Amino acid sequence: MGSRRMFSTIGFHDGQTLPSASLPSAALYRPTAQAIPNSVLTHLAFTHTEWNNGITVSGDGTTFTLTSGLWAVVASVRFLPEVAGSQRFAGIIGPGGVSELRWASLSERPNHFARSLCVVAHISVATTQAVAVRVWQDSGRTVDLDPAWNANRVQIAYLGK
Amino acid sequence: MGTRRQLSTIAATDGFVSPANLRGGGWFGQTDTAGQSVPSTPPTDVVVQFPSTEWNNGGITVSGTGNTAFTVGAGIWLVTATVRFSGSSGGGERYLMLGPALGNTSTRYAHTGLTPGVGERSLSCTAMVRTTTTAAISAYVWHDAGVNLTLMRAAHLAHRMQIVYLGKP
Repeated sequence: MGSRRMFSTIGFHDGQTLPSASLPSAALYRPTAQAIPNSVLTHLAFTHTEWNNGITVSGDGTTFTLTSGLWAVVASVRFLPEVAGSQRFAGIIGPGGVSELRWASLSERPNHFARSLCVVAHISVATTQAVAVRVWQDSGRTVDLDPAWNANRVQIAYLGK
Repeated sequence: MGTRRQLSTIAATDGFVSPANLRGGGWFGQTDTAGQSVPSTPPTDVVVQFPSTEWNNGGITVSGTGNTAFTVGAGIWLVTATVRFSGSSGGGERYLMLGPALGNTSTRYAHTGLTPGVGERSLSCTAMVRTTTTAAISAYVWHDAGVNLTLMRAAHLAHRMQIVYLGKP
């Protein structure tokens, strides 16, 4: 019996990610524009999957259900330019859809707004919880997310217990 | 015989040099106080150099003048970079991106940018990269200040590229 066989019996909760199995993780992106209404907190809808090693994604591509543990959540968001208004926000939303795990904001008019977000999410409860990427803008009109370079992305990976 | 002892015998192909040494590395620019010039004309993606090694636990091959391409093996990798642009009165935007190396211009794993005004500005970017074979990763910057800018490698050591292994693909 080799060490690999032994290792394959170790659960996630030993603090090691199972080397004999794919890391629980997923990456999704959106190659088309998404309209973000004025002054409405809006979940990004990720329509395409780059990879998915066992993460449950909602049918509309907006929420990602995670099990208990520590997870790295990375997102990239890019608005098209818009001259009006004062703020653009992007954030990673935590369990229950209310905790703001990480926000980025800046007044970027009239240029693009592009932000890279990263957070370690601690899912402490026994039941599964969902995270999402959410944006907001106050231009007074609808502003699209920029589809160039598939710049709107989310990536999630399990780190440990 | 505990599982920890068994773990110590696992080969590097599992992503761990040993349980204590996770595959990965960190590079920065401390020794080059001159910084890296980023031309203004035409505005284009410029690959970032990280000439000094902070730490390297293996699993990553570095190539290119000034260390511009970081080739990783099969796995899921966490990649993060930070740069600091010199100040300019020329206006415009500043961007930092992570993407495939070797001149790929169509895909960016992560993207961050701002409109800085006249001052110096720092940007950070994070992405996960998955490959079942190998993948070469680079950091890119872009600006349209109208004058040449400098990546301030020595300023607060705020010029870094870090890559760590997360797990099997």
